[in-house]
Amino acid sequence: MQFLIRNLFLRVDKMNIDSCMPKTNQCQSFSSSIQNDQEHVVRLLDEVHQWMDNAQISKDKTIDIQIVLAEALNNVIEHGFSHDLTGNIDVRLEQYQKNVTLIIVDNGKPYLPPGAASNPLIAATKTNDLPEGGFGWFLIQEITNSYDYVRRDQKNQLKLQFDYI
Amino acid sequence: MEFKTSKNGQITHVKMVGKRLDASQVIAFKEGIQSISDAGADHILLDMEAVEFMDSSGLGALVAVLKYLGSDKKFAISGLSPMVEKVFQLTRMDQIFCIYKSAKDAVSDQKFILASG
Repeated sequence: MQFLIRNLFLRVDKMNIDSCMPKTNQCQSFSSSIQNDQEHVVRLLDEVHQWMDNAQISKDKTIDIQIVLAEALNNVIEHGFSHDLTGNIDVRLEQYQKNVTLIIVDNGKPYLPPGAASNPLIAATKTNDLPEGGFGWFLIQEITNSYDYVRRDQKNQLKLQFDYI
Repeated sequence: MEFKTSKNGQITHVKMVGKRLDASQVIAFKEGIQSISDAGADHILLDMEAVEFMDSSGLGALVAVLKYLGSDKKFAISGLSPMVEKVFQLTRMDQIFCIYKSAKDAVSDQKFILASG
């Protein structure tokens, strides 16, 4: 586990999470902030969907980004804060050429993304064993090409990369 | 949460009206389906045609319903949007649930009818 943590932070040190794309006219971006409340997530997801439509991001990419954004925000809201409407979550989405980067910054409790999340379904042998949760990080890892996490200035910063070749 | 229900033999057709099945909806969803089951539904066909978005919390709610209905009652799902279908595929839950392209396909499927008879 210590090896994983060290690797995670080493990777993070090499990146600039606040400015991940070259500043050119070909880079499109969306930014918004919400408080830690599930209803705010619904509103934000609608805004992001609308932006992706306007930015002519393909249907497949739109679905991927929606799934990942929802799971990442659910994790923060469910585990990051003791009370609703006490935290702040900033979301930034950038598209440059065929790559999309999603950055989520929140002022909740620190968390550690799993190194490799397995499908919780694997452990189930009968209907009553089927998992009702635990799919969030698995879905994020299945869809994204890479992600990096860093705790900086009392905030969690999660950067998720989607590469479409 | 709003549902439209109708009976077709022993199959209760439950049509979801809202566009989302997510973390903000799961408690109301589970309570709604449990109420329909407790009110006498034998087998349930859940029509998700209107649902444009589902997260893993919504998927967990479907699993909870599957467990609640047990082995005596059949539970099938129809009308998955591409987004909802992708969540099923990525989690491999498409191999666990009985899924039909449309409610019409489910009702006309002899296996489902026989299992429900």
